[in-house]
Amino acid sequence: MILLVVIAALFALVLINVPIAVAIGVVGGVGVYLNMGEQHLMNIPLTLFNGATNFPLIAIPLFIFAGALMNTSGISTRLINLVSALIGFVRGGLAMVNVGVSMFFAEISGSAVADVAATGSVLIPEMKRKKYNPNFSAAITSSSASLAVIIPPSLSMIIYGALAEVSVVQLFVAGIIPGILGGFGLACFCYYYAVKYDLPREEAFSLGRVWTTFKEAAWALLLPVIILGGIFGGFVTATEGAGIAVLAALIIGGVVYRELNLKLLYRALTEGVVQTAVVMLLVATSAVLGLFLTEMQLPQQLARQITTFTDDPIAVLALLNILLLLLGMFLHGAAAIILVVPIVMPLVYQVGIDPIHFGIILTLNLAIGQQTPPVASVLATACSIAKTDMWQTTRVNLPMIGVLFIILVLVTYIPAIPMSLVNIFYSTGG
Amino acid sequence: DKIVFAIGGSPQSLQGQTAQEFTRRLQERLGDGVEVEYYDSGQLGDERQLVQRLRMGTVDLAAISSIMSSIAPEFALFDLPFLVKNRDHLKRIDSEIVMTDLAANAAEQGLKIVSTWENGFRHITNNNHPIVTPSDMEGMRIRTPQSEWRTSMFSAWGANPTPMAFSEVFVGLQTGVIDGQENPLTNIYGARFQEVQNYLSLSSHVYSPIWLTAGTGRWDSLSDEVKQAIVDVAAETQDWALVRGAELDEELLVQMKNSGMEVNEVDREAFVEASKSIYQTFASQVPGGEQLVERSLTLAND
Amino acid sequence: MTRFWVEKLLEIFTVCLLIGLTSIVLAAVLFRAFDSSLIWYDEVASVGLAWLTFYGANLAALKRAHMGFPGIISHSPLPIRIPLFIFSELIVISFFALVAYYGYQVMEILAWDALVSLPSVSLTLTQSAVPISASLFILCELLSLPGAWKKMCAGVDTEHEAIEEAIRLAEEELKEAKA
Ligand code: NA
Ligand code: NA
Repeated sequence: MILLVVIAALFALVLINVPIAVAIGVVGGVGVYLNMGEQHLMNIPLTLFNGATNFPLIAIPLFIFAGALMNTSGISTRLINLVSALIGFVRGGLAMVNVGVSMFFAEISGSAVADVAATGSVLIPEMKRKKYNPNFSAAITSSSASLAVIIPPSLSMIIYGALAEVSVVQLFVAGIIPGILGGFGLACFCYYYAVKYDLPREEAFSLGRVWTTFKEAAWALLLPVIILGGIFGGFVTATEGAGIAVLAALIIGGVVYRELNLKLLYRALTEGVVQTAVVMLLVATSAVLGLFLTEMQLPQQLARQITTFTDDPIAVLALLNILLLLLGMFLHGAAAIILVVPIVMPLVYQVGIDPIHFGIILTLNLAIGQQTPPVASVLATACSIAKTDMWQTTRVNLPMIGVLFIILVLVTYIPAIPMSLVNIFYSTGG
Repeated sequence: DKIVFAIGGSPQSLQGQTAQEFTRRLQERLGDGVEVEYYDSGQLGDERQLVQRLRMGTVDLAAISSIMSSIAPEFALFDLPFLVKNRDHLKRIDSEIVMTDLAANAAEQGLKIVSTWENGFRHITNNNHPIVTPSDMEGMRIRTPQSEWRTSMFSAWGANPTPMAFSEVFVGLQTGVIDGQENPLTNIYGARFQEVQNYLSLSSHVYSPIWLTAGTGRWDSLSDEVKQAIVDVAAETQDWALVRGAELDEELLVQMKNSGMEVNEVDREAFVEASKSIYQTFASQVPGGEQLVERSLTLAND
Repeated sequence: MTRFWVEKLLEIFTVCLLIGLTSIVLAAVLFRAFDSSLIWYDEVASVGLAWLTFYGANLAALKRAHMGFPGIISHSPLPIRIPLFIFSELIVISFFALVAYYGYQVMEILAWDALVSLPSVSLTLTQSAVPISASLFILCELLSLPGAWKKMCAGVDTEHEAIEEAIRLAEEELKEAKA
């Protein structure tokens, strides 16, 4: 009951365009005041500060900064050239290039909008020139960019890991197989679509071209190798891996490609600051809401109520998926994670769902949420580049949402898909 | 009326078990008149925030451990290596030093120490080789809590103390970002470190107590009856915690061996020898430090 | 004019924080590799993150970049838009006024404590970021109010506008890269 009032109040504030972070803080603060009295309002500044001093979250500004550097230093164009040399010879190759590049590139910089803008502004005009349907062009760009949230490195996973207090590195590992499956699924759909609408191949496959583009892009490719190699190889933690990413992006953009200048560097820095603050203010204010919900024992009550109804993990996962899909329609990715995690984690633990497994389910749900209007900033950006109507594009996007949904169902009910790599690398024994 | 009681640790840890036992007994003693509300896992904040909330009176009771030495420096007594010999020794230190001298120091900082419970004796695990003398730790990256004392202790032994968020320690140990860590057995078992560590060296280098603490302002406003109930039940719980701690040490040692860890004793004399600089720093930095150490060590021989 | 200088100052301060944070993390990796880990690293870096959060939030307020849902407001008729706009501004300002007031009140309690790994640094210093940035937030909200008011009256969907801006930047960079 109280949970419903909280949700209604949040919605009311957000609908009249109070910033989401402030709306969360206001509802939490009013709750604390009504429930515990004026003296407890002193907890609010302490909780805000405590919410923002969460060590693993230091990865957020660092990855955002690295992503902004990558967006500005010509790395994306080189990647696109390489991927088209590799798979451009297949029917509908350009669409698959789109899938490949987005998966590799997106969701590092924290601003999904900036990432889609960076890749989409190259690929979508190119697809339109090659007579691809503009709606399809926007849809495939949006879906594949969203899929990137489960492919490491991923900001959503860093936020989830920090809030649920589980290892970010294990989350990264768990995302690999579902990410590859999703990319493969989308590529298959591209092929089917290309045959059906007789879409062109790019130029024929040539080893020579692969080699030239590879040499050009090699440094850019080195970036994830350095980051993930450093993390999985035991040289750095996930947080420090983000620091290495900044250093590598600076060296590659500034020294190797020589496309980074002081003006672009300053812009990447301010972009890093603003994007970080936008996400982190949410983290801080939702700690206030979390304080109120905890003192009301709401997450525990929710867990108890649902488990008296059913404690079958399959049913609980279905319920959670429905809830998350609904939330994803109306909330941006980061906001949804930040709100949901403290409320549902007791339930997740009580029915015995592995928190790493649940993290992948949660991020996949948010990837789908990026495709569902009204709140779908990734889709909106792609549509804006392609100059299409969001609802018409959504109709074309439905099969691709279907692909993502199938992956979600597979990941939910076959835990081995996300977990087998985790168990191999981080044998969690018995 | 209600008493809000919070801890930072997990429900499975020894402090979590102790806190639940305390809550159960206190609720029984107080009856329906006063409700005891209990929170674990840092739901109301980590230890630092709990101290702040005790002072504001928005939490009534909290279990506070390592952070105490940054509040009143005298509490760093318990950060001195090999000070506490065994649990009997601890009980004597508790009644003759903690509840008299240290409690007065805490009171000056706005905190009322109600009772001393236990987190346990801390031991070292690592992946390289058994640690017998300090020189075995040369250059080893050992994850320690942030405390100034703990890090300077491991530096004095030649190790490379490395702070790291607790949630990353498991993977850090496995990937080799760090070589080892130090914790009581209950924490080691709770975080499943035995699955990613080969060697357990029973150093007992530090005994971590945990103090049941109240804010002085809020404590004074409680009725005498409630105060007495809290003090009595906390004392009963202390005995329960010490017995449970000893039990767990035995049970868990078996578990550690079963999961394939090689267990060894350390050369205590060599470690004590290598720890002299820490005792000197304590004596020179902490007011009355030398006497505190002397009195504590004398109590070992009773 | 005031707006320009406040924005520049905030920008420079937060950019320094971000550079500092990056340097601390990289230094920590380096020092650990050479077997002398920085013991204050995670505590200080966490405080740095909090400062970046709160002062960065001021900058974001000035740029009106905080995550929101402007769709409904911008599509409703003007007589509804105006009171809702004023109401939502009032909510934002009152929230930060409260945070600033209570943030200042708790300073007294924080004066007792210091950082664990650097006992010479008092929590009054680290947590001063809360009341100071809350006050600055109100200033930034007021400084950006005239621009926001104009856009609201013109019925501009600010989310749409942000997307257009991101695309413009990306295309501009693309041209620069090709040139
Ligand atoms: Na990614
Ligand atoms: Na959506």
